Formats: sequence, C-alpha cells, structure tokens
Amino acid sequence: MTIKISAFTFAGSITSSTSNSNEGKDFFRNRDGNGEFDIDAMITHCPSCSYFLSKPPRSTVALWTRDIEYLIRDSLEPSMQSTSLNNSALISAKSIYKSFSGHRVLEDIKLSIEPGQIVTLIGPNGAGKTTLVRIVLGLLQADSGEIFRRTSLKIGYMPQKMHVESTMPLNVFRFLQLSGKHDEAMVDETLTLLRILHLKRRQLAAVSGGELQRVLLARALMRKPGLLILDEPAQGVDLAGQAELYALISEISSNQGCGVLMISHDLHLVMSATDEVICLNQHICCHGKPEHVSNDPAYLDLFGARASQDIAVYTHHHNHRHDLTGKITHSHDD
Amino acid sequence: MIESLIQLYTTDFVLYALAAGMSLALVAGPLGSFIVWRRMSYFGDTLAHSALLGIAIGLLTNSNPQLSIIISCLFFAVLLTLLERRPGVSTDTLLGIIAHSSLAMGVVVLALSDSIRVNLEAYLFGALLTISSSDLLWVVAVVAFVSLILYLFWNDLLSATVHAEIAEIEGTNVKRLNLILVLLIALVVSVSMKIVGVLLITSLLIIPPAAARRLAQTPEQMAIKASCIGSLSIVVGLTVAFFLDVPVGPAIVVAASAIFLLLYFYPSVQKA
Repeated sequence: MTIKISAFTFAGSITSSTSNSNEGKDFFRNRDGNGEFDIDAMITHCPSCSYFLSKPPRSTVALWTRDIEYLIRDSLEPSMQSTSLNNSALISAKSIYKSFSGHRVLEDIKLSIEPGQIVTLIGPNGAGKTTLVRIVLGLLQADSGEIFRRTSLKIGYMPQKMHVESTMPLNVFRFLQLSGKHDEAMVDETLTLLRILHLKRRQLAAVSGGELQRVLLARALMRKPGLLILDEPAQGVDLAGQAELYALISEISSNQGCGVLMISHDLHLVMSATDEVICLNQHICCHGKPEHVSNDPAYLDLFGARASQDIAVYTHHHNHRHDLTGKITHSHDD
Repeated sequence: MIESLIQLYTTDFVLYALAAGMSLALVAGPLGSFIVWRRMSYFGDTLAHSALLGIAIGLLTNSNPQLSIIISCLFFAVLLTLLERRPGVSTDTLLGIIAHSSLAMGVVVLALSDSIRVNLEAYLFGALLTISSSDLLWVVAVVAFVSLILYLFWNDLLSATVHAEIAEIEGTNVKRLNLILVLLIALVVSVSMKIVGVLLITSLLIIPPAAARRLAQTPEQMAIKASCIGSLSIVVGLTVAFFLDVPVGPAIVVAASAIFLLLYFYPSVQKA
C-alpha cells in the first residue's frame, strides 16, 4: 500500500499501474519523504521508458482526489473494471500478451477508449506501440488476452507510412474512393477540413510525405469512424503543420464524438489534446489523465492552448503565418 | 501483300489463333496490371514454369492435357501462397527454387516417358497456330470467368493492392482477395501456355501494362490501355511471324516489347 501511495504522489499525470514500475518508486519519491514535495526539484521522467512526461500539478487537492480515485479503481479490480469497460467503451483490451519468436513484446496490457476520448500511446522505439495498435485493430492476434469491440464499430486507421506504388496511376480523389463510394461533396468537405483540397486531382505519387499524411487522415475520416487509430500522424509534417494537425484531430474528435487512439512522439504537442497518456515499454509503465490537471496553471503553462505557438526550437517572430497549403493566412499587423 | 494478308486472316487456324490471342490479351491487361502493381512478375513466372510439370504429369496419366495444366497451376498457386507465409527462406529465393526445379522436373519427366513423343518447343515457346476449336473454347471460357471475377472484385482488389492494412480494417477480406488473385493468375497462365509458351507467358502479362503506364491517369485506364496494347502485339506478332516465317509466340513478345520501348522513349506530350 505504501508503495502504491508513494507511486501515486509522484506526479499528477502519471500513475504507476503495474508492479514493474516499482523500480521507479525511489526515483519518484519526494526528497524529504514527508508528503510535501518540491515541484521544481522533481524531474517527471518515466524511468522505464526514458520519456519526459508532464510536470506534476501544484494542487495537492487534485493530487489526492486522483490518488483516491485510482486507489479505489485498482482495489476493485477486476470486477468493476470489466463492467465499466464494457458499458461505454468503444474498444477495450485486457491482459494482452504478445511475443515474437520468444521475445516478449507486450505484457499485461490494459486499455480502453471511450467515445470522444483521446488516448495517446508513447514509448521508445521497440516498446510495442505499433504491435499494440495492430492487435487493437485486429490485424494481429494477441498470444493471450481479451479485446472487446463495440458491435458495428467503424474504425478509421491511419498507418505510420504508406508505400506509394509508382507504377499505379492513382489520384487522391480515387484513392479516397477506395474506401467506398463517397459522394464528391463529402470528399470535398473532408479535404477542405484538412486543407488539402488543392491535392484532390493530384497523382498520389506526386504528393509529398507530409501531405500524404493528411491524405491518409482524410481516408480514415471518409467512413465517419467511431474510432480513429493513428500511428504517428504527424510524421513528416512540418513543425507548424504538426500543431495544426493535432488541433484538428482533437477538433474532429470532439465534433464527431469519435474516440482516438494515437501513437505519438510529439508529447509537447499532444498533451493539451489528450485525455489519457499511456506510457508503454512492453508493459504499461504508467498512464495518466492530463485533464485532471488541465486547470492547473503549471499545466496550462506547459501544454495550454498557446503551446502550439510557443514550441519553436528557438524563439523568433514572423510577421505572417502560413496555413497547411503554404498560403499566407494573415499578417502580424492586422 | 494485301492479298496475302487477307488470305492469312481468313484462314481457319489463323482466325482461331487470333481469337485466342486477343481474348488472352483482353484479360492480360487488367490482370497484368495487378501483377505489375504488386510486383508479382516473378510469381507468375514461377507458376508458368511449374506448369510444365503439370503437362508432363498430365501426359503420363493420360488425362485431358488442358485440365491437368489448370489443376497443376492451381495447385502450385496455393502451394506458393502457403510457402510465402513461412519465414526463413525469402520469397525471392523460394520462387527461384520452385520455378527452375519444377521446369527441370517437367523436362526430365517428359524425356523419361518415351512412349509419348512430345514437341517440347511447343510448350516452351507456344504453338499458337496449332490451336484447335476446343483449345479456343477453353481460352474463351477462362478469360470470361477471370474477367467476371476481376470486374466483381475490382475495387476491393485495388484497395488491397494500394494498402492491405487499411483495406482490411475497412472490411475487405484481404487474404481471400490475395488467394483469388493468385488463382486467377494461375488460370490465365494455364490457358496461355499454348499461345506464348511457359517461358514467355509472364511477358505477355507484364509488358502491356508497363507500356500503358505512361498513358494512364487512373488504374482503369492503365488496365484498358494494356488490353489494347496486348491485342495490338498479338496482331503485329502474328503478321510478322507469317511474313518472316518465325515462331509466333516469340514474335508476339517481341512486338509487345517494341511497343513498350516506343512508348517508353517517346516524349510524353499530352500528359495531363
């Protein structure tokens, strides 16, 4: 019990969920061990996966509330877990194990996605993120574990990358039509939403990597999915476009009420739009809900609404902005 | 010359040859396009090579030659599909082993069965002009069947070719489609043996789509234009073979290659 509590207090957005993360407890235990902790002295860093997570919230009340919540939830497991998962979740997975030729890739993974919820998977290379996503998608069979999928759930999937076969003449419009007969107005609407309408008649082979990501997202959206699964959606997208893309994904999720499961390395960009972060390194090292701390000034300061504009590697100012198509949207003066 | 041309194309066996070749070219356009898009040309080659073993077995067991070729091609298609899923040996190596060992086995078996005199060259390079009305019937039936299946599954096949995983998630049964495509290739290979022979079948499947690539803006355009180029190659090849007195199968492939080269090096003027 003490281990759990101390693990829970280390950071507002991180919760130790498996015994495997006990190795990190000393790392996270506050310095003087009296229940108070010095935020600035703490490095919020997941020891198992070497990923930097959010800074802990300052509010002790918020901390205690979430600790109690997780304590109750964890102690009532598994009976409460399974019922609550099945009621509202679009998809939920439990005790997922997977090995590739004797090498354990996933261990005791638990995951669930609610409508309108954005879940982000983070973790180092080889952590099993893509494997987990493929299992959730049903493309890969887990060695053991259970997956519940809401009946007639439509999934929109955006793969990490796509090999465009140059011997096949195919334009963007036709590519989108491969997912079914969509009327042109709907295609235009989706392309406009993603600001790639100008690519509609372009050959797929002539579309750049970052643009292709948006085309793939468009294809995923065409079927009006209940669940969007995105494998590194912003890969190859330029820095300004990344923030825009994540904002868009979050907008789509809230407008259409679809759940989102995504793999991302752009934590600084993703956090503001994410309901739950799962830090994966074969097992779930930690998971957390940034929403619990979203009112906290420290959190807002780090990942708030303006974060997208403040993420430049070096700080400098432009007198204009570009949109996704490269057009100048407005100048600084108006 | 015109007279001899008229005479050529009013002869029964030439008309049979033309009809068989043209119908094959018709289906080779769309089917060959898939082979090009999916980079399966070596797969088709292996199937064709292994068909010779089918002929040998068919002759030994005294069964209908066309039927035994079809059955052996389908068998090898399924076998290759199963073997491809096994890790350990790369597909490339595997296909190479099967292609040449089955070809060699076919030749050995044919040579061993000295009770039957077989014209090996006819199977290796085709004997289009010896096509009978029953051969033609086989070709037309298979072409009609393959075209129908391709038409029915066209969009699904395209989707699975462009991105198998997305297609799978969108509800397409990709594994079944892959098997269907492989079986269709096996069927077409088995009936085209008489036309161009086991060594040249793949060329008839992949050269026309490759030539059509630069003229096409959509997958459908590429498939249809490949069919046209294939048909043209058949007519040109047949005519040239008649006048120069050379084997018809190789002449057709040479004609197709010439069209490919012409289109490949011709500067694209009207490309949109």
